[in-house]
Amino acid sequence: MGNNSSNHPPKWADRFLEFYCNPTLLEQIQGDVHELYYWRLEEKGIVKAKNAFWWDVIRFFRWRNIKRSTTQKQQFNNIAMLKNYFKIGWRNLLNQKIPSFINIFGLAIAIACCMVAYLFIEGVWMKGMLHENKSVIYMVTHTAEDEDGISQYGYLAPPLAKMIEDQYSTVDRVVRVNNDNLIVKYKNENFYKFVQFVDSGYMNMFTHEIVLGDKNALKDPYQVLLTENTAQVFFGGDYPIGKELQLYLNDELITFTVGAVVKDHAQVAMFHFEILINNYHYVKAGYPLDENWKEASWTFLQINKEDNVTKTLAQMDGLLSSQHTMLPDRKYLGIQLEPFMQLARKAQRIKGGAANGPNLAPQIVLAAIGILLLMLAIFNYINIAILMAAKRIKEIGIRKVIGSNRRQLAIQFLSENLITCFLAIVVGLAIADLLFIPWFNDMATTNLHINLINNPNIYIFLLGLLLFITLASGAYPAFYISSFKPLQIFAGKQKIGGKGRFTSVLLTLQFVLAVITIIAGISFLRTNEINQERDWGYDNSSKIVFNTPTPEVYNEMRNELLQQNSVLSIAGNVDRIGRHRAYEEVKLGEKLIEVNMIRGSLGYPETFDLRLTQGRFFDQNLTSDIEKSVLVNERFLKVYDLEYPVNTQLTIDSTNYSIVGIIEDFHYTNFRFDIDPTIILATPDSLAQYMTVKVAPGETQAMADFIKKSWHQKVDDNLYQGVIQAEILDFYFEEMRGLRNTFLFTATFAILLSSMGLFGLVSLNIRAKMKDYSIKKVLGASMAHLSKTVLKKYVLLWIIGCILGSILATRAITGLLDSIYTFHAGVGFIPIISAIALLLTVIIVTISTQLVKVKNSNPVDNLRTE
Amino acid sequence: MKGNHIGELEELILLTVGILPDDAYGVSVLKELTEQTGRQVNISAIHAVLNRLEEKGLLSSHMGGSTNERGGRRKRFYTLSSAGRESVEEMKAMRDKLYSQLPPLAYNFA
Repeated sequence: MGNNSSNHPPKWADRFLEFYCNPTLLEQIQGDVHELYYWRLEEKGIVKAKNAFWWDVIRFFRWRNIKRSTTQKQQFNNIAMLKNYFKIGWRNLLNQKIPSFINIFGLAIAIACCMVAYLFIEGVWMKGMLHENKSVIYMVTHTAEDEDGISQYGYLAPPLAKMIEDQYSTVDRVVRVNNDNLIVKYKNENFYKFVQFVDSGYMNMFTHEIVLGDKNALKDPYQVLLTENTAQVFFGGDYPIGKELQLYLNDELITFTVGAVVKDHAQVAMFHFEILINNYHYVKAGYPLDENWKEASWTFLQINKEDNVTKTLAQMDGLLSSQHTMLPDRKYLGIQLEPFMQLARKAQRIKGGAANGPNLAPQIVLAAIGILLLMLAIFNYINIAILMAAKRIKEIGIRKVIGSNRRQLAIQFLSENLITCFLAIVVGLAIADLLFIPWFNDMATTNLHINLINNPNIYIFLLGLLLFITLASGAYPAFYISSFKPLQIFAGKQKIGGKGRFTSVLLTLQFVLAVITIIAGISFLRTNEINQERDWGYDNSSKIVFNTPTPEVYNEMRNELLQQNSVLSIAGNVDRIGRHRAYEEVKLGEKLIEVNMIRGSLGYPETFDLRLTQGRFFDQNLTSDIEKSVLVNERFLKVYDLEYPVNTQLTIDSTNYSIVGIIEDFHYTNFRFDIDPTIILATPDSLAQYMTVKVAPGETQAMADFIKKSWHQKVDDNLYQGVIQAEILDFYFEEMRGLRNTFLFTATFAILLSSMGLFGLVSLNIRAKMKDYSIKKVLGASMAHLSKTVLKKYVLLWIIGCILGSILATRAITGLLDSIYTFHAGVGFIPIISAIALLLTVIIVTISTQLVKVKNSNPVDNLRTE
Repeated sequence: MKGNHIGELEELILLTVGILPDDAYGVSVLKELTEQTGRQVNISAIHAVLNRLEEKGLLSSHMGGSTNERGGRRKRFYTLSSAGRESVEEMKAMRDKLYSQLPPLAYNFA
């Protein structure tokens, strides 16, 4: 072994020893093992010596010899030290009220937004989490052939479920769920309610909190179970148990008593029923559920042990043969069991399953808003923290001279930061609970709430958030501040913020984000206005549309209304403009085309005030128009490249029609959809399902009330669905307003946070440079000159921010508008200019408030000290 | 007496330290022990026992001066404290006392 280095003890063993060994013991131990090594090297050769060295090092690895940084003594010191850090931190917080407020309030707003986003997203993904039996519940699905090839379906023929329950020993319980919208009658008033028909074991399989009554109420087929909300609708504050309700089932009115009331589903529930009824009543085409092979129910199994899944599944193939004999048209290819907890995730794949696929768009928007505001707040914090360090520069110097190392200083700043962030989280929770969550629930009709008691996930989220914001906001300032050299500090040479490149970058980023959000807010505001004021294509005022369940009702109502003075005209219709239209395949000449179709009586287009551009309306005295004539909209002519008069005939269901009139394009549905080729077809009054009444101006509300009253006198097994035509899009507008408000909200807070940050920055900067300004003032500088020097830097950043922000906003927001609206003006000049101007105003106002301080200060006061 | 009880290895090492005046440290004790008794003991065990004996007050220790040996690393030298010396004597006395009471072998024809 001529190589010198190979005679040394194994390097890694030696390093390992140095790594673990207590420094006070290292010298003697390392000395001994080295001595032994060289002794063995001579006695026994290199291989044995090296192995023995390794062995010795490993044997020395025992508790006694291992390095421990926290002996008891040190720990006491640490606690005292941390206590001091917190004390100093707290005092600093109180000392610097305005910057502290900016930090805490800004972070709190961002945290509150994150909280809303978190709750919303958690609600979507945690569906079904609350059910106690979730791990042993499986949904039975089947595969069958369809136009896409082989697909998985989330339901099963009900008799198969019955067979499973009767024959399988591994299955504890089978529950079939069927959905229906039924008319419920209570005290002569009708309501549409979402009803789920379930087997009596439902309440034992799934967990719902019982508020009143008996959990087993459904065992009696004539008892129903309501949600708290539904009970409130029917009975108000009265005790609901034992009260009677009537439901229309297969055109028969059946009386039920209320057996139990359950708590409203939180966001996490998977089933959204209002009323639960026993499957006993789910009779379709004369077959009870147990014998109805053509029905399809969501079917859930509860197996007795988690291990028995495969055993249960193995038996399932036996069911296929019975299904094939009973329903040869639609053979099941296989039967599967899907774990309950995976239904939400697999929702896209299982057709007709119980879980809805999570809608990603709102989750992304909310999360983006939360993160955006969090970023703004963190930037504020970083900028302000760096400037605030200027006041404590001597403290840092002294600590360093005494012997603090960089790490200790950084830890001190981070622990102070922890206080700020913790306070911010507390305030943020309060803001979320008292303001944001109620707003959001109102706007998005969700049922979010902060549940600190039995939702451990929130704590994990909050803890993660606390750590994240503490590090994200504190890491750079702590690193920066702890890098100061004591010598320079005491020589007065330490420059705080240096040239402020980092600060400038952050500030510019804030401006960019602010510009984007303002542009988004204004664009949505404008688009909403455009849509609100958009011409509907017809005069939507003074019209009432309501349903007429039977031709008799139609005729009675017609006769009654014709006698009213304020009724100008009446027409019947099958489709409802604004809500619903048919989509049919027709022949234009020889060409097969698909068009929208609106069907109404001969007078319908005129009653509805559709605007004729060419030709004529239907002639109300000419019943042949029903068989021979159609009206089309202008888009129809444009798309199919036709000119009026049109000679080509339209063929609908082998009847030929000629186009007699052209109607100006009108909106047959809400503004999310563009106008497509549409034909208007006349139908006899006897087919009408709705009646449209045109009334004298100013009489609309009075007539609507009158119609409702008289309708209820004639019908009692149906639900009145009357609307004033001008209000038919209210729901859509409401939704769009919600979206607009979300963006305005974001823009408001983005600009608020940016201006707060700017305020803090400018005020600290000006305070630090007060002597400069005082000297300049003494020497005769004008206020304009002083303002210019202060403003110059920020205006430059504003310009950069605006350019970047406008470019990004134009791209991102145009895309967003395109995906949400059909009719919008794009981003355009006005929002960009307004955003830029708004931001500049905010910057100037913010800075001016600080410049006033410079103006009012007496130079003598600032220069006198020292 | 519990707590002050001395194990066999402890006793041997105590004696070894005693017979190596001014030169008792980890490696020397190990070598002496191996030479005199033929026992193979790991160095870490020696260190552990030395520490334990010191804690019991039977040994005292000091760091030696630095030399050119062992890359300049100092040794920790152990010496028998007066309590250690006493303990060695006591053990010897106890063993002798017990030994003296051993009955002669049954077929002692000597």
